Formats: sequence, C-alpha cells, structure tokens
Amino acid sequence: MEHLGAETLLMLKTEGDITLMVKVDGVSHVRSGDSVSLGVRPEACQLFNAAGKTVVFSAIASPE
Amino acid sequence: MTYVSLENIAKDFGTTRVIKGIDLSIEQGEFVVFVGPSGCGKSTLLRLIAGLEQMSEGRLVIDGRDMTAVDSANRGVAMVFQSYALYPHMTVADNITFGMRMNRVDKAIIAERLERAATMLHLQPYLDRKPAHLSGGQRQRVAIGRAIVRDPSVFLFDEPLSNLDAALRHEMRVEILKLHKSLGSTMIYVTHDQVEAMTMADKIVVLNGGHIEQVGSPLDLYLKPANRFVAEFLGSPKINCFETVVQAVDKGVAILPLPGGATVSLPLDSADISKGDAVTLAIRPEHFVVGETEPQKSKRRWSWWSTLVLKPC
Ligand SMILES: Nc1ncnc2c1ncn2[C@@H]1O[C@H](COP(=O)(O)OP(=O)(O)OP(=O)(O)O)[C@@H](O)[C@H]1O
Ligand SMILES: [Mg+2]
Repeated sequence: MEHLGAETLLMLKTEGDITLMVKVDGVSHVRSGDSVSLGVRPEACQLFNAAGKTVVFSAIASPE
Repeated sequence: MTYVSLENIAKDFGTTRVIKGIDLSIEQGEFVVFVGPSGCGKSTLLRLIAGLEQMSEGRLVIDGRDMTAVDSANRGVAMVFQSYALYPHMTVADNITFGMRMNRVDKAIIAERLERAATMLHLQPYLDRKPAHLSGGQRQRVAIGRAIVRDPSVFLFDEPLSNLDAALRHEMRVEILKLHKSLGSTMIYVTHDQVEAMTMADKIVVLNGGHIEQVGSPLDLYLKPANRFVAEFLGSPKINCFETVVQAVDKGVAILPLPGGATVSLPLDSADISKGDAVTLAIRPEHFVVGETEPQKSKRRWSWWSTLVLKPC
C-alpha cells in the first residue's frame, strides 16, 4: 500500500492469485490483510480479442 | 487544414526497416507528442522530419511545400535535443545567436530576436555566462532559445526534459506550454514521460516497432484504445489485464467471468466474439470502487466481485 497524498494505491490479491492495482481517492483506511469488496461499472471495462484488438461494446447502463 | 503531412514514410538502416510506412497529418499550431517503447523509432522519425536523416521512401510536406529533398537548413524546422548540444566555449548570447551570425543576419535583427527569446525564457541575467555555469534547466532554456530565434514553422523536441529532476521538469513543462501558446507554432515532442504526454499533447501518436498503433487526443487513447498495446502503454500504474474466456453471448451481451467468481455483462456492438473465445478484460486502477462490506444487490449497475484480500506489502 502506498499513500500518494490525494490518492491511495492498493495492491489486492484475488483468489486465483491475480494481483490487482487499485487507486482510490483520499487516504484509505484499508489495511494490509483486510478483506474488501470491489466494484466496477461495465462501461469502465475494456475488452480485447485474442489478437489484442479492441472489442467495442456499448456502455448502456442497465436500470437500477 | 493539414500543415505537416507525413506520407508513407519509411527508413531503412542497412537492410533493417526501422520506420515502416508512417502516415500522419498535423494541423498548424498543434502540439503533437510521440510516445512508444525504447527503440520504436521516435527519434528517427523526428530526424527524418528535421532532414537529419534521408527517407528511404515516402514524402514530407510542410505548409504545402514538398520537403522530401530539401536540406535540413531550409525546411523551416528547429530541433531541441535531450543533450542540449551547446557550444561550451561560447556565452549564452553567442550560443543563441550563433546560427544567425553564421547566416549573416542583420545585427539589429539578431539583437531583437535575442532580446525576445531571452525575455520569453527568463535568460536575461545569464546572457554573458558560459553553459558550464548554468543549471540543467537553464541550459535547456538556452537550447530552446536557439530554436526560437530561427523562427521555425515547426519545433521538434526529442526528450528535452529527461535530464532534469522532477521539480524542474514540471516547471519546464509549463514553460514550454506557455511558449507554445504565445508562439502559436506547430510542435512535435518526443517523451518517455506519461504525465508529459497526457498533459501537454493536443494529439498523441503511439508508435511501436516503426509503425503507428493509434493517433488521438490523450483522453481518447486512454479511454478508447484501439488495442491492448495502447491500453497497456498509457497509464501509470498500468491497466489491470485478465486473461479470460467468454462464458456466453446472449442476445448480443457477452458474459465474462471476473476473478473471484462474479461476472460482468457487456453489450457488444458487433458479433466480434463468441462463447469460448479467449479474451482479455482490462480495468484501469482508478475505475474500481472499493467497499468494506458487501453492497446492496439492488445496485445492478455494478458488477460486484467476491471479497478480495489485501496483499501484505
Ligand atoms: N544510425 C543508425 N544506424 C542503425 N540503426 C539505427 C540508427 N539509428 C537508429 N537505429 C535503430 O533504429 C531503431 C529506432 O531507433 P530510435 O533511436 O529512433 O528509437 P527511439 O524510439 O527514439 O528510442 P529511445 O526511446 O530509446 O530514444 C532502433 O532499433 C535503433 O537501434
Ligand atoms: Mg530516442
């Protein structure tokens, strides 16, 4: 974990042992070893095919 | 309207083609930044535009004039190098005016241009000093001053700030942008610095292995990369990438598993991918929302993942 002042960089490890870098605003109270849930909007995802080319999708938000 | 036009430009060194057919249009007054991994051809492309290297193929047009066979000195371009390339035995003033004196420009014009450049770059107090007695930032200002007095139609910068410390780099970045605004000149700028590229450019050109991966505004490249290379090249820390397999495509909506067991649904624009295809899902570090507890299920806009454990570090 690294505090950069206005934002905090978290290094999270998922079950499959995949490491994620997550940047949050402000100072995070999350500590090493804590469990956290993580959300992502579909429109924030990017998708690439096996050749590395972007697969375009429309960022339609499903109703709440 | 296009001001600088690169048309299918190629460059061979011996039998190796290092620039592989570059097409690029630059508008007058645009600030264009070239980025790409080391060895991808940024400096070579800049040197081809400057006329310091001969093109193997293609055409260069500046302001409607075919410059392909025109001498470097007559192209109306000025280049600023990372290494400053100042004459150590000359004063700042003499370094700045050297080219004009060689070309026997009128003394009054020389004095006027020197005055203007020195004012813009805050160099008046140092005009009688030798480069050895200047800081790195001041030396780079002299090198920029030397380019300004040539009154070029295009400025070319090859990593001009990479020898400076972070604070100075920031200051010089602001200076160069001010200069760009007051001169209104077309500028092409090579950098390794992500922040420089994202904050300075009207248009970023991402180069890779001698060809262009994508051209666009910083935000467009960041949010709508044409491919994985561009997505991974821009952004610090790097975008998170997961190799995954399309779980299903239902009525044009692809379901993709996320690490931890959740899935995300993406409505596809075309039938590019189908069930079972290997794909890469990528998410920028700042595009996550972190919660300490499970969110309410009603928030269907979000794809929530199962709980993750913070890696001790
Ligand atoms: N004079 C030369 N003779 C032979 N090969 C060269 C010459 N100049 C450059 N090259 C090769 O051309 C390729 C592109 O080099 P170039 O200097 O343009 O890369 P670059 O993108 O500026 O890299 P860097 O980010 O490290 O400055 C490299 O593979 C380099 O080795
Ligand atoms: Mg270079």
